[in-house]
Amino acid sequence: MVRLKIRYERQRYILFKIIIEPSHVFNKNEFLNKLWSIIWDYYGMNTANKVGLWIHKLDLEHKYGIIQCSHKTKEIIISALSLIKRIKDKRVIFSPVITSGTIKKLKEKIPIYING
Amino acid sequence: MPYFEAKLRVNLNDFAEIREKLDFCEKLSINYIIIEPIDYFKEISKDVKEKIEKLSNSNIYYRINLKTQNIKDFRKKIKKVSHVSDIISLETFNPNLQLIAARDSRVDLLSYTNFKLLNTLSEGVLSLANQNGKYIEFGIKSIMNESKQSQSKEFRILFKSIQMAMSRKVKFIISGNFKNKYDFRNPRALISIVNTLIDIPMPEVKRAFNRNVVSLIERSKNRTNPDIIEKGVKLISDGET
Repeated sequence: MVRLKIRYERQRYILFKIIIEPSHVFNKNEFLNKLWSIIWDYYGMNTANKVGLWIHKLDLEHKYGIIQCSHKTKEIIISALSLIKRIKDKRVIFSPVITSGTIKKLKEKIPIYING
Repeated sequence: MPYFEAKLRVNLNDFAEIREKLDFCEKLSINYIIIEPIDYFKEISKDVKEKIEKLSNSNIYYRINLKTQNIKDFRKKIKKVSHVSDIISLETFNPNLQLIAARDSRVDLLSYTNFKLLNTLSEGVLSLANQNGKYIEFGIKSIMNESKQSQSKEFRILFKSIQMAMSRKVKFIISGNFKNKYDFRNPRALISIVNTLIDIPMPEVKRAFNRNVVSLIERSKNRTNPDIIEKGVKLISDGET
């Protein structure tokens, strides 16, 4: 029997701050749709099928989120997050704060970068 | 090395607005800012600087942007600011004035922060800028443009201009130059955007946001340093190494 050796792709976890207009609310799906549309608009399908996008957390109360992507497309995800200008016709900013190779390390840094 | 927002335009008569912008920068972790007073062509007084620095914990630097299309007017304006230790930049559509400024030792930076200005950038200016150690400034305000058509045109001309500057080995800086506070972005995010959308190599982009800005600030500070006789020549006192 031939055994296939699969090499797992390295991942990156990006912590980002959310800055929104007062009393503006949106959900995870609206954010994800917007992010995908930006990736499609600016980078096309060739890049979109390589990003391996996964939202780990979107906390609107504490205004931060964590996103997972392939290490090769880290810069593209950081750009796409920054290129989001509006959700539901209201201004938003998703500002990437820090990137890490493991979710554990990233979670340790949340109090420093978000609450501190 | 820190990343800079090299152009934050403020109205010096409106401190509430300055505070609001600086607070927003702090929220976005923009810790190194160069403030440019709007339509202000004279030395910024110490009191005003102190007042601004009290508003924020960020590291703040200043620049004076001379906007003129006339050579006579340029000479008049630069006389008033030639002794200051802030960055002196020039923004003009006049190609002859651009060439004069590229040779003038009092000008630190030639600014091409919008689409129309970029169209006037010539090989001659870049060559003179390289010879005289001048810096060129590019702006990426166009990333916030809502129209995809004009945005791609602007990206194209920006790409061409940056490539031209790189091939001429001219030192360049990139600034956000955003008006609306909701358009502000952290310089690290802008680095990713320039790298992925305009296809400029990462080391070059990073240099445009940190090392080149630091050396530009040093250049402007050295202007008022009496120990520096000319570029690369400094008087050293006894015991100094």
